[in-house]
Amino acid sequence: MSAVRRGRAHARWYRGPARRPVLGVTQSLVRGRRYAEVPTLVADTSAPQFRRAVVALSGGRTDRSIVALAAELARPAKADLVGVHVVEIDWTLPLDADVAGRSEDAQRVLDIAEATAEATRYTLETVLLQARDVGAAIVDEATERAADVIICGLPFRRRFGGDFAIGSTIPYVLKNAPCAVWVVREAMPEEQA
Amino acid sequence: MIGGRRPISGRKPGDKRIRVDRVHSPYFRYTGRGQLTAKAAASAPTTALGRFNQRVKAFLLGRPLANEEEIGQRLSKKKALAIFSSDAISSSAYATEEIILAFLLAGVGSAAFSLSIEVSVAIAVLLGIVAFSYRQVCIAYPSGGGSYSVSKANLGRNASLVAASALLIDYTLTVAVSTSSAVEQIASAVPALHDWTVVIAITAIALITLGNLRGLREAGSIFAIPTYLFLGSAFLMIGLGVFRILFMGDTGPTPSPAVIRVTQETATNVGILILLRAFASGAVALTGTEAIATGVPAFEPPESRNAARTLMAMAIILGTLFIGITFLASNFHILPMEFPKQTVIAQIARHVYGDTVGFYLFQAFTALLLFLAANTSYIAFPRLAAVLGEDGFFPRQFAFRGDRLAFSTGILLLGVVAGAVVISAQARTHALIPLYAVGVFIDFTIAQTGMVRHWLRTRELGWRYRLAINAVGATLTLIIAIVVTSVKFVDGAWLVVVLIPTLVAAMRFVRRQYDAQAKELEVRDDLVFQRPHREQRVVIPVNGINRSVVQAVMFGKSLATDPSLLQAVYVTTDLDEAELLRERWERQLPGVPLVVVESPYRALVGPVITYLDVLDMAWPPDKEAPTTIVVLPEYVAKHWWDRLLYNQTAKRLKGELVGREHTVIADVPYRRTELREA
Repeated sequence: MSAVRRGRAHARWYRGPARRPVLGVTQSLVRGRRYAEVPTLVADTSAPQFRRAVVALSGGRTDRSIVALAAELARPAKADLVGVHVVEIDWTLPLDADVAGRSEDAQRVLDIAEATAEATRYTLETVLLQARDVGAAIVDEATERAADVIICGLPFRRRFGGDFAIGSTIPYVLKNAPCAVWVVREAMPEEQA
Repeated sequence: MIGGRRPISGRKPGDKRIRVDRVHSPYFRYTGRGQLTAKAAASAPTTALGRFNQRVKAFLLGRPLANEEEIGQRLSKKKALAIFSSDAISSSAYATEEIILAFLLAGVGSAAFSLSIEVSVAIAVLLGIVAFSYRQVCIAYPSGGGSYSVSKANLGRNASLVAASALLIDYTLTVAVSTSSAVEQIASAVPALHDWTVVIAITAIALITLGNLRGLREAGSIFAIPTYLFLGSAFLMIGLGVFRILFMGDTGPTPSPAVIRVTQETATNVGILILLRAFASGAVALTGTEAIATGVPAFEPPESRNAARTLMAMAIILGTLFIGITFLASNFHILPMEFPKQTVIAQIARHVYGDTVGFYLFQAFTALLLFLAANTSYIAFPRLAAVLGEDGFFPRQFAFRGDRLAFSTGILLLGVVAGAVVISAQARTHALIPLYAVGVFIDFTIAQTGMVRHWLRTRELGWRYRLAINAVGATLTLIIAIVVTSVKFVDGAWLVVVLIPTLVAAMRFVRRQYDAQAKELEVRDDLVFQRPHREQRVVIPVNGINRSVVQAVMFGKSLATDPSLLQAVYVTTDLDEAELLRERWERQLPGVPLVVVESPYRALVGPVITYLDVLDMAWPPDKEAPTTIVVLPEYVAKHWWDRLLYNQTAKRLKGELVGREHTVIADVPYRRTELREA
């Protein structure tokens, strides 16, 4: 990973563990003094670190890859991973209707994510939510759990074969999440590339 | 509200969410539509005793492994040579000694020095032919060509069962012979251990069994090390020994009186029978040759070619070792010694290396290799037993893997039988050898004959050439099998001759039982089952009115297809008490008839059973007999010692009812915790 860091005028390549959660602004201490304002380009090859990440699971194609990625990135700092799947309840039903609990599909999304993390020898805590709006539920859950990052998967889709469709959940999360947000978009299909 | 949880407010007004309990999550995982996979917690014991047992088991055997944790490692040629050939190569540690002993016991000891090299060369030629024949098996069966699978595919059930029986005996004897020989090597180096050989052998078998129950894998590099250490030190010994014989005129250690006596004999009276006996004894060197052909799938691609090359390399190494050791033994004029135990190979090593650390290291490497050879049977025997279990010739529990993914039942059986064999032979290799070679050559013959049929059937490219090789192999091994069985018959080969048909008969018996059961339980494919066609009669034996009985009666009511087919039975010796009960019963449980059976002979179980028989007899003969459901109220004791106080009559009744025609027993447990809640 490379990161833009602010340091002294003499740029140097830095290799080593990040000293603070990289998400947000990384501050570096050089020779005991804080150099916060002088911009310097430094390539940081260490993995970004976080203490807790919320992995938003949609039940789509990207779930496995984002869980595997999150597990690999969480390993150095032994960070907590929380997989969240939200079942959207429309307004025709009360919010506390027994929908997600009875849905084998919803349970399976989290179970598969849990198994994927286990396959990489990492533990993923799973949370199943019911909400009116998926984006809001993810952001609120991440906020309550003091997550450093929300990791979302984004399948490559086009609206009616035209423009790239990003949907409404990810823009909401990007706009409202208090922590960092990583969006992993799947590769463009070959025929569209 | 779900699971008693209230909606959680979000950061913005109106943003609410509910966390849904995932009650299955600690124990199960959805892995497909309508498909759950159990996690370790699902099979965790719930009682204190169960948890204690699990801890002990985990301490001894390790934590349970999941199916996906099985290691599927491919072996390079070098590693495979070491791992698959340990059985074959280790036989060079005792094969020479067996040839010498055959001459000695025939009273022509001097032939041990003059003819043993010729015998060993003949055996090495035979080894070459057998290895070349098995090379064809590697090519034809890339999925692994054990004698059982080759004969099953080409020769039918009986031949394959004979092969399987011979293999099972062979594997068991490999453990017994290798362990005994290893212990003899240890005792040769440390004579003080001579009286402890049986104990050491049994301890070694117990440890190897335990290691395999823990899921010891043969594929680890650590298992390749002893083979190469032995090979290195053995070839060094042969090289040094040959140099000393050829260039220094070394004629061996100071001869013992036995050696002097033997060397003064003339070998003019060595008949063909004695030569054949020596040949049959030395033929144990061929044991384990088939291991590579069985393990072809474990090789790196191209599997068949790599396996075939490794097999030929193994044959060359084993042949050279065998001839080399025999050459040294005959030129050093070495005879095996019983008291104190000194094996031939140990005496050669002591003479070549001197009484130095080199000698002790060589003995240690030899013993290690022999233990490793015993360990290879722990992989092959349970696997074959599992295949036989899957085919219905062995009890099915042999096909189930234990907590550590090992075929535990097969491993335990092998350990127990091999231990018993070692004890009965007092850990003496020589006592076991006559049993050993017979099964091996029967196996070779069946496998090679199977290959002849294979080439005739498939007629693949070059089939004529391959058929000729296997035909030669089959003929030769058949002749050797007959020779070995004949000359060793009295010495113990008869036991194998009796055991093989006995095992075949036992396996056929097991298969017949499974076939009969399958036929009995078979359901026609075109049938659609809608509803039970038999009527259901419910009988509830009671001992009065209590919560447990009431619960059973309520449950019984839900089962009876017709209220008139529901009744409670009270067996008593006191009719006055019964009348009181009836009065209360009719008041509190209306609609459920109570039948009072007076038992003047004080029996409780017998009258209930007979009453059920009478009910059956009273059933209209033109109607199909009903299913009788006997509902047993059961009070669940909280502690293990409570169990002695309750339900003893119900247990006896249950024991009597098991297997009764058209009868179902339904236990209705009543737990003490429910009492508090009620």
